[in-house]
Amino acid sequence: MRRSVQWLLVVVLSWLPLGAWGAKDVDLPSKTDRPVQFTISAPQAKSVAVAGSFNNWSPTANPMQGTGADGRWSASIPLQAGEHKFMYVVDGKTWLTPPVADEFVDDGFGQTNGVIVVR
Amino acid sequence: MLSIAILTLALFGISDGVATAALSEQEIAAVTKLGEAQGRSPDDMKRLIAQAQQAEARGLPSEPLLDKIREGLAKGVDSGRIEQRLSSMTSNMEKADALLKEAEIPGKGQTSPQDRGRTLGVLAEALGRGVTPDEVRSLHRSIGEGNSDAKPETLAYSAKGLAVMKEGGLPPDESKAVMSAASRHGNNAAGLLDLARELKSRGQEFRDKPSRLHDIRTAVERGERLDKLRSDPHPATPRSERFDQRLDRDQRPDQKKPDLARPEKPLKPERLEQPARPDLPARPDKPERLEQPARPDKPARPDLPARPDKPVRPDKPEHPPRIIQSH
Repeated sequence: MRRSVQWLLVVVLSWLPLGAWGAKDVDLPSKTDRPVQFTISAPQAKSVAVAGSFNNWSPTANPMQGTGADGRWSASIPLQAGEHKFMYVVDGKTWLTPPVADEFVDDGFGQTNGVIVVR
Repeated sequence: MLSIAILTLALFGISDGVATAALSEQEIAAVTKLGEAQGRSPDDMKRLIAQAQQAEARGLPSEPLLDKIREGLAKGVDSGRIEQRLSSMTSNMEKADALLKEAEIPGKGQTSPQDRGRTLGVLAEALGRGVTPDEVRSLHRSIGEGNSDAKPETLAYSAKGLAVMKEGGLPPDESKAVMSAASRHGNNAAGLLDLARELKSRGQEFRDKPSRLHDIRTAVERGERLDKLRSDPHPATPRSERFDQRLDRDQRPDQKKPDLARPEKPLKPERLEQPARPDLPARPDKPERLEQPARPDKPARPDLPARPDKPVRPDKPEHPPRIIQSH
């Protein structure tokens, strides 16, 4: 059965929760026929990665690429259909709850994971 | 032929009764290595992995526990706290297992061990997110009304949808009614969760006006398409375009309407003879109209001043003659 990974999700941090790393705009997610794309605005960060249930929560498996002077970081990750929990890891040690996701759930450790639903 | 038969029997023997894929040595080694790389003691890692193995030995899915171990290690959580979290998850899975066994009819709607493990995981998550066992039982009763094909998966996802709505502060009874109505109308897991998330995102609207949620429930009970119930995108929480898609109804089970025989109408009691109406009192005469006083004459209009004469238009000048040039 063909794996149905057909979503492009643009996720951008809003300025409010990031504090020191700053962020500017919030984009509406859009759908395209490609793997899921994560985008975040963090001008002060030296590195950003996506970690979640799809990569065994590894903070190094999916590093994001800086896309320009506006401080945006982006990563395109093929995901299987289903629900995936995730967070952003800034500078290898700070775990951030995504500001935009399909859902938010308590991780049981005092933090909140974002959830993407891929169809 | 004999070897094929033995192999087949062996495969059936292995697969029967196993909830999910067993924890492999490879997975255990990978998690142990992850912990050691973070400076966790071997004893800590043994205890964490032992919890996952013990759950598996009791027929519970181990993958969610392993995933939680990886998550906790990656986030730098204390091993003791990870153990507590694993204990809580295992307890919820045991409750979910018991609830599913209550709901299952032997020999009917049996799913594969893998599907059952997944269903159990979803129900356990719902319990972990605030749904009570009694609420699950109540959902099971209301989903099962007139729906003999109700599956355990439907119950699990309805319970998860209920958890989502409760997290949004929506009233539990009304939320339960919405989920059970949506389930009875054959909506699949994706449809149930999409509906729950949509309603959760509109939580303030329903807290301000509780009757609105009741309207949604009525619409769902009428069988209206769930995608029609969505509102305009909430400015604070951008929604993806998936809500514009028609919900996939290919997975809907065949709907069989229950055979409801209409009960006989009760006989109306005979009309008793009405007592005679008393005569209405006579209308009093209208008072005579008083003579209106005469209207005074309108004052005469003053004469308007005479219009001045229009100025005379000057004569148009004559056009000069056309000069035709030839080259």
